[in-house]
Amino acid sequence: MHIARLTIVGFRGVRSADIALGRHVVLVGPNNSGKTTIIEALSLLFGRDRLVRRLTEHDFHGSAPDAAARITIVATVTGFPHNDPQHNAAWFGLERGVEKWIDPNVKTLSAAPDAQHTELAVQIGFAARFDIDELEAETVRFFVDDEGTLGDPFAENAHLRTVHTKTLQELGFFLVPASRTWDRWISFSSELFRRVVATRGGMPAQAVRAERDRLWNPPEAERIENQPGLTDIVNSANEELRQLLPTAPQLKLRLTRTDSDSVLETVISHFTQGTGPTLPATRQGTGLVSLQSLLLLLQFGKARAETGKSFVLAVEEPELHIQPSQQKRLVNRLNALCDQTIVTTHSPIVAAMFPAPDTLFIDTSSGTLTAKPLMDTVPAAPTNHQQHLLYAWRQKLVASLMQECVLIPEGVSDVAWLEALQTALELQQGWEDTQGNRSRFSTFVGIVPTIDAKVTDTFSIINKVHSRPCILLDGDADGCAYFEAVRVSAPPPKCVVFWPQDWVMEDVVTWIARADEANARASLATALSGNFPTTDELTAFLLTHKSYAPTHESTAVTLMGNPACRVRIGELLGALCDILRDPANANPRLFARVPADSTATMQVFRFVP
Amino acid sequence: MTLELFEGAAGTGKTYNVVGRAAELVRDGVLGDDRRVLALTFMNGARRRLQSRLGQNVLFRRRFECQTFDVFSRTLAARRRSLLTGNAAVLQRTATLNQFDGPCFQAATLLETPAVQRWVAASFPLVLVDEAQDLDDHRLRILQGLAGSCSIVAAADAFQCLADGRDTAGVMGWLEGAGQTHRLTQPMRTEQRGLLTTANAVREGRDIKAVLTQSQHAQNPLWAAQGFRILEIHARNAQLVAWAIANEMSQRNGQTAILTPDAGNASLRAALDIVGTRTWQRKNGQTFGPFPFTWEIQDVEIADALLADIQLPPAATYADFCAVLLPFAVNVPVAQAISRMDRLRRVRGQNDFTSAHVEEFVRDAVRNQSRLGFRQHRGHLAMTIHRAKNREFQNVVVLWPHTAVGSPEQLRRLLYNAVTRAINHCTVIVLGRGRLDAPPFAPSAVP
Repeated sequence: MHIARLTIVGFRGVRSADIALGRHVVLVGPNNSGKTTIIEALSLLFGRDRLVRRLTEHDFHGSAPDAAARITIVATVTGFPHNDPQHNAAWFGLERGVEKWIDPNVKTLSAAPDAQHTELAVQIGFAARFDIDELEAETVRFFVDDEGTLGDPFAENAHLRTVHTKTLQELGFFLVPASRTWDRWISFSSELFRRVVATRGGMPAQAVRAERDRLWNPPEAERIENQPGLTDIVNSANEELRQLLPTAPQLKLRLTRTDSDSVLETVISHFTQGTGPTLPATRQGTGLVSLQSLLLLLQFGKARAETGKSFVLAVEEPELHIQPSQQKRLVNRLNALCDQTIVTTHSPIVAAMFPAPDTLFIDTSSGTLTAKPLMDTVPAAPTNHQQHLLYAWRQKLVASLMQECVLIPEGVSDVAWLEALQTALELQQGWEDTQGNRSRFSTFVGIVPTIDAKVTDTFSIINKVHSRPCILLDGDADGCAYFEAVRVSAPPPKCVVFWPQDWVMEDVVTWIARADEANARASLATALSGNFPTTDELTAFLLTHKSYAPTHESTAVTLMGNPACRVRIGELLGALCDILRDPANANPRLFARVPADSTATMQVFRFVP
Repeated sequence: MTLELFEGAAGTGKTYNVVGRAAELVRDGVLGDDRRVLALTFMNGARRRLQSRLGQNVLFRRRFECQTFDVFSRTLAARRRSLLTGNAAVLQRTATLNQFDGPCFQAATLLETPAVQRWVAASFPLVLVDEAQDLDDHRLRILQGLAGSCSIVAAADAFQCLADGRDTAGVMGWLEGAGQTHRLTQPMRTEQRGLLTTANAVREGRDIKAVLTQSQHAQNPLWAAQGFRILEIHARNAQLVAWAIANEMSQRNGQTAILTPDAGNASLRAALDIVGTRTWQRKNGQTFGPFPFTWEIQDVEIADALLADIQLPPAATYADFCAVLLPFAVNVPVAQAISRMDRLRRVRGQNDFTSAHVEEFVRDAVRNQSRLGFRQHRGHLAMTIHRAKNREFQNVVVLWPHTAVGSPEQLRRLLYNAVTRAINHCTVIVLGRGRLDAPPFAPSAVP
């Protein structure tokens, strides 16, 4: 079984969301884009009741719920065994859910099966309201009969049937949250561990009972209250008690509460490495512990798979504590074992393990959360450019899309230069830096690894998944032609930046050097083993080394060594960052708005050195 | 699936057999895991009684749901509404029907679909229907739909249908043809021969006097048999009528139920008021009476009585209505109306209500009174014959005023129903002269 669609209304920062989910998906997006909201919405719907954290006002959209405010979450579950309601009695019936039929391709629902709507589905809803008198949330988990006419789940005539926890267990939803306490995972205080033990039937009852009895009734000589030094204290306490209470209770000291539960709870996992000492999990490196714990999770998944049961796993940031080679193996194992995996990540490595249609970019703007796949379907015969972008450079592409703004430069050397300058700037940055705006560029702007002459194609791909793509063009005829092509797309790029007339990126680098021309030329000549009597020679040299990375790096580092040039780089990247982030209002130095080409939805700037 | 019908005259143990057969099926595992018996009734009173009866059997504990056809239909129609979306014919037809028949029609239509039949059966594989002769067209269609996937256990006696003018041939024909019919012939309720013979004479439309022995009783003509008396009272004086009723009650042991086809008859009510309060003295000095009794009234009348005492403003805030209602909140329905307003205020933010709202809330609360709120009276009772349907009492006094109306067949069904409620003894008191020669007491005069 798996979750095919999720809609969210009024939950946290999300006023509305409608998300189609595949079998194995990865959710990527900047911080605060709504990834965690999606995961928490799923756990409100499918988590165990006591795992559902108490909801407060802040869980309602706008944080000030009135009597009519609602959180409503609806999930469509499909993939039922035998595709037949008769075989899924826990889900379907007059006292249970209403059967629906889903079109697996476009995820639309129909009340009766037909040629397109072939897969049996059920809809589960969760709703919450905030009681203004009791100051707490009332929640209900119910079968959704007809999503289109759902109405208020708390209305008197709602005819709701609640969903039993037992029913939800058939789906086998399990959440691994980002804030995890790994060392407590292999212990009986962990819900997961208990479930694994229960599934496998491995409760060590006899050993626990024996241990409990031993703790309860230790040999006379080993009793703590009989140890020298303690006996005096215990005896005087007993004397006091005899004065106060007619029954004269005797004080005894026992390890634990001497019931099976406390014995189980005191079980702490230890690890032995090689011939080293056995150490408790907290004394181990987090990598080992988290890996062992995830293996336990896999055991659980395996146990469910072996008994034909469904297992849906939501994992937040699997990259935490685990090195990249293990991440890959882990994610692939999870995908192979689970009916469905829903992964959130900030790691381009993890994200790039998922095919483009299953890579969902999450974005929330004015309360509307969207989840857009990197591509709707994998092209049967991808073009050279698509192969390049979606396969060879997928990690870099995904990394750039995780940023607030995305910049698509016209050529491959623009990418290289911007990255080199940015890196050099960050390396030079010190605590005394008071301009404060220097490193903002890499925080907010992702640079797409485009290839030459494909800026319009790249833009059309990025435009589908990211809400704020921007374009950087040369100040020549080609640049103008690209601009004409992208300006008519819907929507157009948020921001288009031109280098000055007849300039390319290398002219910009030379412009930086001109901040302190004589010194810069001299030091660059040394660094690049060139000869630059004027800046024209420098530009010419850079143009002949367009795709030679050491040139970019050496140049950037050398320029950064020069205080005047360093200021220019900082100003350039800072100003570029400002116009990309807020094109409608930004008015920085170095860039001038081109009012003739700008529109309400697209701002055009030209670099004015 | 299977349908089992228990058919038999009044007092032959139909309800007992239906419940017993359902219990056997439950014991044999017809429910499987997590499924329940659905018991459908026509009225809320019957629902509460059946609920209490099923609740006494440990086999049914937490494994049954007792609903009226109306509530069942409303739920079904609401939950499967997506199947009716865009079905203009059904929606138009629904609009022509009243608030009870509309959902029943929709539910019946939905239950024509095998997927819906199976969906109901997935929760309720076994359906129990008592008094199935009362099924009208919509409700019969519902049962026919349910029969597609559920096992059905039903009881019926065509002669006990009290809906005037309804032809039960269709219902009975289907019920008898759809499965196995068990005919019950052994009287179970009473062993009083006279009572049984008289009931049969009424059922068969014969002259009731022919099976009785006449004797003179004071000034009034009297016919009697074992466990049965019928007397004619010519006087219109309420005191004399009251004396006749009280005199009968004084000769019986245990509970007596006073049944009448017309509870609105004024002189009859005047006489009953006296029965409840007056003491009489016999010539030998012994006294009898008063016989206090409880009028068992319709939900509507209970609500009317409750609301009559309360002065509701036409429109007011929640707080103002609370102030008015709180002195009456000892009555559970009033307290429930208050908490319903409170919930609406908190859930919807509604603070303004009208008297119409409040009245509706009280009426709903009366209708929905739970099994716990439903009291079994131990003392004497008075009620209409309709209300006494499907119940039994130690002793019955039937008051038959001249205002009893209906076709001869209908009058016979009413009298039959009333007489057969008695376990021990039944007295029929006919008000007026010479009415024993006409239906329901005798065949229509041959022209």
